[in-house]
Amino acid sequence: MNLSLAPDHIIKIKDVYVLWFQKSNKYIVLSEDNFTILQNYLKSKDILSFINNSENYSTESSKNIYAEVEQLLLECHEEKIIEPFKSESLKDSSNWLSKIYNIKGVILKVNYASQKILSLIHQQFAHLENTEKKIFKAEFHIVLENDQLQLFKNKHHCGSFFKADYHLLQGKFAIELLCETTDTNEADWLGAFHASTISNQREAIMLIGESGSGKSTLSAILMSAGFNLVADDFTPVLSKSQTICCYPSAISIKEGSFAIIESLFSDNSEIFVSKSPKGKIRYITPINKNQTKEIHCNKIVLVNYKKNANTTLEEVSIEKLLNILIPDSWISPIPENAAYFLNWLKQITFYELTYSDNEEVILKFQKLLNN
Amino acid sequence: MNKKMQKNQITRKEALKKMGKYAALTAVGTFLILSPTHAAQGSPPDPGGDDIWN
Repeated sequence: MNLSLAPDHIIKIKDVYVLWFQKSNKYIVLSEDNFTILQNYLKSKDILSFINNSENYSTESSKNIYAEVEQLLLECHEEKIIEPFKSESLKDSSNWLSKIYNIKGVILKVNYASQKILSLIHQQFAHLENTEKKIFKAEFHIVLENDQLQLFKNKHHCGSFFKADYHLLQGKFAIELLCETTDTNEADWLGAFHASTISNQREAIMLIGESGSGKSTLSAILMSAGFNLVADDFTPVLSKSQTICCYPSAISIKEGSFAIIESLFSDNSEIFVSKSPKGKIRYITPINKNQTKEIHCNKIVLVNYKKNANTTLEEVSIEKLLNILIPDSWISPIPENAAYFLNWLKQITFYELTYSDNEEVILKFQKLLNN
Repeated sequence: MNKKMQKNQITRKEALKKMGKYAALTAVGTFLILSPTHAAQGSPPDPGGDDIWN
């Protein structure tokens, strides 16, 4: 018996099995036939009993399969060692560029050590800046020291990031901000998905796709048609409720979509030219008329913008969608949260959207949300 | 070529390598190994974009 190599969680969704391994935080998606093979491996005491139980395969094939399953399970049990960061202390300075933000009534102060560092975070939250509030719930400092970006919350060091990995600083800051604004801890989060999310008053739809697939532009189009913008490019999900929490950053629109956006919005966005790490970006203030902080989501749409394409929205296989969703997202490695993630996946319907026409895509989403 | 494309090409190359490593299982049916990122992150930088540190 090879049960010591068994996955920690298994769930069947439609015609595939999704397995999770705690040591590596890896997910495996298997067809029914491959899952049967894996089960056979786990209950076989040696290769001979595996071959005897593998009636559908030749002895030679069974030997190859046995070796691969063993290799796969060993790979999934390799522990991922993450080096702890070296603790730093916050040094006094009088040159902070300080900003105060009002995020749904929670006041946060962020001190940036330079204009360059400010450009990594502030532009997304500029619409929440509040110059009148003096008392804040939490204070952040972000500084470049020892050639690394250092993040402090209430003067406690909470992360070091290489300059080129500033997106990891943004991610850590986002999680810390969410913990402050929702009175939660990092362990309360199921994950943070590389996705945008829109909603009506009852339910949310998550939009996924590779960078440049048009997620943010589509979010802005749908927001202009009256949908709520719950999150742009960073969608946090709480574990126990499996609900999406509003993340109040502005929608970031790259230069290629400026013309579309200018036809939809006249005056509630600003252009930040260059020196944003992504070049010219236009930031659109999010509109979310839903007063509740969390919202359920049971539809995920894989977005493809394709010039001159007919607009189609069709159900798609879970494996196609997970192949995009998981490698681009943070999913909590805590076993309980991984189980919540799999449970949540079971309730989701997966779609693939191809579009080029704004009016047609709005109609598709109106219909999808009414369903 | 933007950075994301480069990243994806590497991923595809890795995927092909992986599929070679698990050719027998891949031949049987659906087989994917997926690893989430080890921490929350913002949208990854575009390699072709501006380098703000210079």
